[in-house]
Amino acid sequence: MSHELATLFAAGFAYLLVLFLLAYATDRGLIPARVASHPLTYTLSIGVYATSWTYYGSVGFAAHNGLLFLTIYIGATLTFVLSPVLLRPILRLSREYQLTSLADLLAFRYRSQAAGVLVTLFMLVGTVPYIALQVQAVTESLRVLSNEVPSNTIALVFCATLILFGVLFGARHISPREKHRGLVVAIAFESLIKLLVLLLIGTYALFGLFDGPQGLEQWLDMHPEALQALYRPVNESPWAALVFLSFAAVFLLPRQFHMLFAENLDPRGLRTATWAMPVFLLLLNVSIPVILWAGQRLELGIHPDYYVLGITLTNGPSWLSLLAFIGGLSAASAMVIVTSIALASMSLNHLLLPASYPDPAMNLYRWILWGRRLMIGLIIMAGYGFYTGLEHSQGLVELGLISFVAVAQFLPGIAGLLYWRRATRSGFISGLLGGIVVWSLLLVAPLLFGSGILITDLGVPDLIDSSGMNKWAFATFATLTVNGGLFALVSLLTRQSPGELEAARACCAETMMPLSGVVAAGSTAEFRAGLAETLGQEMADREVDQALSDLSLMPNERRTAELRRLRERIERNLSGLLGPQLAHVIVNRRLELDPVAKIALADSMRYVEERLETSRSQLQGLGVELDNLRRLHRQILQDLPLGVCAIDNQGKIVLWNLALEMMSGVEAQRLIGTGLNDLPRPWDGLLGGFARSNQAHIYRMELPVAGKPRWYNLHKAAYADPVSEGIGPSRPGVVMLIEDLTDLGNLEAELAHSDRLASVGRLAAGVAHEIGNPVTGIASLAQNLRHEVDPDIVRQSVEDIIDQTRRISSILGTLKSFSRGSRHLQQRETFPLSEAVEQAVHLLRLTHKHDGIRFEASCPEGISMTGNRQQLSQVLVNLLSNAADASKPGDRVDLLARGGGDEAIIEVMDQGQGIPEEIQESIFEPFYTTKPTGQGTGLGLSLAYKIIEDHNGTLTIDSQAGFGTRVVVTLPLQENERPYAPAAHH
Amino acid sequence: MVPPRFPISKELAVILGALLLLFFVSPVAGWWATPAMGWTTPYLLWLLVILGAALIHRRDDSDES
Repeated sequence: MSHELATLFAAGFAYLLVLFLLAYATDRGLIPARVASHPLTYTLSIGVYATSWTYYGSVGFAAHNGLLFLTIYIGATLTFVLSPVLLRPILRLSREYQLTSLADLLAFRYRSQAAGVLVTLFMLVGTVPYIALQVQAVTESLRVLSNEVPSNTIALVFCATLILFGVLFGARHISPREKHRGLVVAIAFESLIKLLVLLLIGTYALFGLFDGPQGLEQWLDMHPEALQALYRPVNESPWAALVFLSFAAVFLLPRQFHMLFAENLDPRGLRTATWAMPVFLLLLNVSIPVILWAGQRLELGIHPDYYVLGITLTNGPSWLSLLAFIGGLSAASAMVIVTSIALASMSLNHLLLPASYPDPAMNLYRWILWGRRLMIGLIIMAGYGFYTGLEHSQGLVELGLISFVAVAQFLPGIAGLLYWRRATRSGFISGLLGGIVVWSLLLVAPLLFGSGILITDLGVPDLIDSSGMNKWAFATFATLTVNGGLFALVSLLTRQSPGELEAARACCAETMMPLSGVVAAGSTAEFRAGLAETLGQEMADREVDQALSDLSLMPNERRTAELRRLRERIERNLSGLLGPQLAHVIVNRRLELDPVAKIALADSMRYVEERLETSRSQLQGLGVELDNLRRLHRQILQDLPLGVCAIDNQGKIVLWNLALEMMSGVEAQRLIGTGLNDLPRPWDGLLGGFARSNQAHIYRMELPVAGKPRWYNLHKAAYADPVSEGIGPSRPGVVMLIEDLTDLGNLEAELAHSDRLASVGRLAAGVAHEIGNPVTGIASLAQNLRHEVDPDIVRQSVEDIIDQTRRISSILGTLKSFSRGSRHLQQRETFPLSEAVEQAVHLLRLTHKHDGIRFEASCPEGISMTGNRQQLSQVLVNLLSNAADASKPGDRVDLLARGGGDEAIIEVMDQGQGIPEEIQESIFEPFYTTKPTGQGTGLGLSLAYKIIEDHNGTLTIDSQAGFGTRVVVTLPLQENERPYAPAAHH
Repeated sequence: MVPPRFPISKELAVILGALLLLFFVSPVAGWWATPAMGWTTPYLLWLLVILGAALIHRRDDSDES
């Protein structure tokens, strides 16, 4: 049975059309994004590893080498077992630094464009034959199924279709941040198809040809040589070389690197892939022996590579052989598409762009996009060209293994990248060149000799025979010995450049790389202008905007450290577009660093903290403990119920805790790294002024916040720079504590008001009596006026009534003035001290409680006080009242006030029983009283003390039991200078 | 409380395991690579390796989360 070539062509074309539709639907969002980013989709997309070599070639490999065919997948399994130490670090690097290919990764680590060029060229040389192999597999499968030799036109149409797919779905976006979801889903679909078809063919072989497992067992019993042929090579040939080659190939081949790292939609997908990918490979291979034995049983007269097709064609239904063809087409097309996309990106970044960088006046994005598309076409056509000149007798396995040995040459470089910081650019290039030379001699030369291109085999077969090893083991051993030896030796003999050292640190996960240097460009506008010289204005603007958005920075960012981060981000973003080395050169040239200027401690520490937050899982041992300690200390500072602001030795804010965020309404994220002058009003003046002042503490600082007055206590202390501590003298940073007293102050004001009201209550009886006298007088005068006709007497009586009402108004005015509530300290005014003294004495004289006690006041005119008039009157009333309470009838209470220099001194003296020494310590405590219950609140003296302290004065008591008491109040005449002064904003 | 740690790092353990597998895979093959073991034995051993690795990685992942 055979198929018409046209039928096969139509089936293949229909399948590729389905692939197009699937990718299109995904890109359009018709297939949910969660399907595209599902870990199993990611795993299946990595299944591009299984090409036509696996699909067709595994049966052929098993026929000649028994179970050794499994080594190609066991090595791959080993790679995924080692995922935490091998794949995850590479995924981290490729995502963090936007490295899209192995050439990018190695050029980044070894800071060498030459390394990138060498890797790309070698990849092209090693992989183009592999592409040709896929074309050959498809045309060969057509020949097997149709018994016709297909023309090269069919191969050309196949290649053209794949070019179209690659251009449409693999080169849609320029930035590596934007993944090709359609491509991922399409490749995953291809893997699923080849797996299902291979399982279906295996099931058909088992049940359709052997009548089930028992039938297979019976056949094997009858043909023990089949099972022996499967096992014999395992004991005769070394496994290690093939396991090692596939171990390297599964993540270093361009298509593998592309799907594993460049198109990874979610890093968590790799966790699933660590077990799911080996399971996929196992399922893919479980049918191979059965298909092989089925082919042997049917005695198919074709190469075992195509038993997959042969057994379905001979006995099976025609749809099954069509499906078998589709499975092979699927394996080949997926490989060609992904490989060409990966190689196109490498070729563009490391060959085309460095060789002919376009004029910045052009739209560079478009240039890159079309350049990449052109490269996809060229690479696939190169594969086609190789196919047309290929010696068709070459087995699938032969060419595949040559590619595997080629990519294994990158292993020493990868090992150095991940684990050997001492590895140098020269070492890597020397090793790779050595490996390439040996690879060419041992594997390529005999191939070319076999194809008739070379006239001599260079004696390679004899050399391999003399080694006693098989060809692949010898080639692997020889190439990697030369490569690794040169790599290690030259690395030890040469030195790293600073750039290499920096990249080496970035590649080692456990190393925290601090920011160094300051960008010469001081604003984002200068960034744009600098980059525009190389990238063109449009691209420069877009890249700066993108980097600002990535870092959540303001468009007018000027902070030194943020600009340094912006520069780094731009380099990373450009790396995804132009390759790491070209991006590095452009950024270095256009955004120069001042190597002398140092990043402030605040910025350096912040950077380290950010890195610690994002890479906590990489810490181990003592590092974890130290990080826990750091977090504890930081959390304590953050949650402290006091505002904490720390600035470093360059005046930049290092810490702005949660309490201060609440007080100021400004988030720490906006402020860290800025200077105090950049704070919004009124905090700039408050903290800036305090940091500059010589005072270590400021109490009761008033600050208008959101239009309302608030009060703060400020404290500060210097701290030494922990980095330079012990190295030499360093300018210290400052830590400031801000205590919000507003709520406490309001409570105190309420308390003082209550105390005044209590005093008013105590004075009420005297006040009533004092008002009663003039009222009685007014009543008498009014009664007399009723009968008085003499105009002079009437006039006199009216004058007397007016005098009496004035007296009442004066008493009420004094009482009202005293009892009026005042809000804390905001009502400051300048007033004559004598008025406050007279008012207090007047009030005391109103009360009859103190009848018999003489109040004598002496206060010179001309002493002006600045402060809260009501509060100072309250102090004097409280002191006079206490003095009167302690006095006996007939005693005298003196109030003497005088001005002296910058201060006023007020003394209140009585002749009472004095204060016993044992209670003198307690009399300023709130609610402490020696008076009988109901006669005192115990707040008078404590409030007086508080009010005087708020006015920056002192209150002292000189008393001796039995000899009276003298209270001395000292008050500054003018307000002290305050640090708060709003800074001018630019 | 900080959980007890292995005396060697996970990475080192995995690398040592892989090297052991690489070096001893041929000698071990002598045990199972006989026709008497049936043709499915390599696949079962392969499956066991996958399950073991999955278990190790599962614990590793839960440590990180």
